[in-house]
Order: sequence, then C-alpha cells, then structure tokens
Amino acid sequence: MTTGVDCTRAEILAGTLALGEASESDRDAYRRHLAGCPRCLVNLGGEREIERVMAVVAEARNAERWEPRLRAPAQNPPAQWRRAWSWAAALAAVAILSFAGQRLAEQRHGGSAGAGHALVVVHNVVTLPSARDERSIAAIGTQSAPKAEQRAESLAMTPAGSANRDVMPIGGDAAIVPHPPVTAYAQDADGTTAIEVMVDQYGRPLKCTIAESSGSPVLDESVCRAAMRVRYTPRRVDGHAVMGTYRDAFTFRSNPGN
Amino acid sequence: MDEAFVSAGNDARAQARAEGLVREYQTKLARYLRRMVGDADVALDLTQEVFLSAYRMLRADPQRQLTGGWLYRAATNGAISFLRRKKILRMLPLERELDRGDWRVDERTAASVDLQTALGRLPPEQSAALLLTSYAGYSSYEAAQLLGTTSDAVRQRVCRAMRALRTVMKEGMER
Repeated sequence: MTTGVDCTRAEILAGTLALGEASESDRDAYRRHLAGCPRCLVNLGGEREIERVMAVVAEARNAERWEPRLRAPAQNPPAQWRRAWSWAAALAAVAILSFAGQRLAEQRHGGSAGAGHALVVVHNVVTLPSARDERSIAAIGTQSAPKAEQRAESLAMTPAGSANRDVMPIGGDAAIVPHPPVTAYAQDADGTTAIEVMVDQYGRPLKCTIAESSGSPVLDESVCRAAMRVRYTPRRVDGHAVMGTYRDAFTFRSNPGN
Repeated sequence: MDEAFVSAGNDARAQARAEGLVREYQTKLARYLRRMVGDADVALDLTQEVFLSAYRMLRADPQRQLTGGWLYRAATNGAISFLRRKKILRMLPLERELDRGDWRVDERTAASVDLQTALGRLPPEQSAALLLTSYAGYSSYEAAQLLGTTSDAVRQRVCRAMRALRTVMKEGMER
C-alpha cells in the first residue's frame, strides 16, 4: 500500500470521522488512502457519505418518543411472582383472543343473528361532496378534481391533474394495507381517514399526518402504520428526485351491505 | 448503635439513591436497550434488572459511587448475554417486532427502521459501539472503557456498523 495507512487503519479513521473526533491530519490521511484504494472508497465511502449515514442515526435518535416509567427498584415484586403474573396474564390473553376470534368467525359467516358487523377497508373511496366533504376531498387531492381555489391551497406541493400522483407507493395504492386492531371491530368504527405522507428523495416515508380523521384514533393509526411501512417512488423535478407528499384516503365501513 | 437500625438507614439511603438513578436514566437506558435487542418488552425487563442490580449494590455499600457509565455497562452486558442466549431473536424478521406495537407510529420513520434493520444484522459488540457513541453520547474513549476495549476498536466497530447501515439504505433505495 502506497497511501500511508492500510485498510484497517482506514476503517478506524472512518469511525473517527463518523464520531466527529477526527483531526485535520486524520482527514488528510483518510482522503489520501481513499484516493489510492478504490475498494475502501466503495466500502467505507467518502466524508460526505459518512456524514449522510450518521445523519440517519441522528434522525432515528431524534425520532425516539418512548418514555417508559419503571417502578422504583425496591418495589419490584420477586421474580417468581412476576413470572406467575406473566403466566396468568398470558392465559387471560389467550382466553380473550379465542373468544374474540370466535365472535369474528361467527360474524364473517353471518352465523349469529343480529351480529352482522364486519369491518372492511374500502380503499380509495371518497364520499360524494357534501359541504363537509369538499374540504376532505381537497385535502386528499388525488382521487377527484377539487375546485381550483381549493387546489391552490391544498396541493401546493404537487401539480394539478393526474400528475398529482407523482409520489406513489411501490406496488401501487394497494401496497398500503391497514390492519385495524380487533378493538376497532368491537367499537364498530367507521369513517374515512385521509393521510399525507412526506416522502424523501430516496422514496422513504418520513412522516405521516392525518389530514382528515375518521373519528377513530385506532383506524387513523392503522392507516399511518401501513403508510409508513411501504416505500415510495420519489417525486421528480427535471429528472431529479426531490421530496414530495403522498396523499390518500381510506374509507372504513362496518356493515358493508348497508 | 443498633445493627438493625443501621441496616434500615442503609436501605432507605439505597432506595433514595436508586430512585434518583431511575428518574435520571430510565428513558435513556430503556431506549438504548430497545435498540440493542429490538424488543420493547425485553428492553424494559433488562432495564429493570440493571436498576435492581444498582439497588442491591447500593444497599450493600451505601458509599459506592454509581455513575451513568456503570449503568450503561451493566445494560450492555445484560443485552449481550440476552442476545447470545436467544440468538434466534435475531433471526425474526424486523417487521414483526415493529408490528407488535413496540414502536410508536411517530417513531417509525424510515431512518429508524433502517437503523434497527442494520442493528439486527450486526454482532452485539458493534451495535453497542455505535449506540454508546452516537445514541448515548459517549466518546470513543469512554465507550472503550465501558466495553473493556480500546478506542480504536470502538472506532472500527462504528465503521463496520456504518457499513451495515449503508447497505440497508442502499437496499431500501433499490426496492
């Protein structure tokens, strides 16, 4: 190797750069090594590439919202009690789930009279524009042509017409499949959830917001969960991928026969 | 002085100090452990174990100084032994972990998913090096002290963790 440092040292230097601990001489040594070692250039990446990767780590760290509350250590029950409680809770959960499963099976087969509630997800259904719904359609902005003045406000990030769908889930609209929890069935939830998903230039969903709530937080959450799980084709401007927004709506209907 | 009285005083002091540690570090440690093991329930159990050990140690020796570093070291050791015992957990697909409600909707960014996928592919020592430095904010020297290794080894592990993350990001773009 004629570049001053070997590949193992280059790895250490890359780590030093990633942690923001590199001196100017470290940077020079790293650059010189990359200039003479195409393999490390591909495997480790240049300084910008390192910054980009570490920015993802920082973004993940900043997205953390979990704040568990533990009991003070001395208040912990002995481990065997905890295990006993865990078993009791697991048995109770199995009993509840089997009961709920039976109920669902009955409902799907139309078995029990008067219990004909099955929740179905009707993808991309937009209700006819009543006074309230005009606003929601404008917010959705993808399934119908809203009035010009509404479009100007709600679709500022996307061009009009069919080009509105420049950010699309890979696999099409059907790739987003919400799975509402069983509690939604029990609550007989119903309604339309309109979402806006911010998608970065790599097609990764960054943020999902509820543009129009169905009125049921569990349904709204199930849509956002599904939307954050898929990849998208990014929006393109002059051939360059840029950030964009994907808008979609999901209508949930309990009693589809009605 | 009565021995029982001294013991009760030690218990109270140990409890007060352990509670202080719980208040200050519970969120940081639980998040760190959730990243390490990829499961919120397991992370909570391991976090609780760390604080229990701290409490027992303080009760035995009330003069003992327990720092955040000690807690992170105990947490790392707990996570590494858990992952060694339960290697099968690493083979479970990530999506199942996410579906279990371990991660809130607003936490589930693409960066977060990419990072967890990469961590799932790494040996625990490399995950710990990346998380102790980039997540917990320790320098490579401090992380090396916690992991019982050298600064250069920590930097090299960070570099390898970064490579895994780059690979995951590339795969995401190609899908």
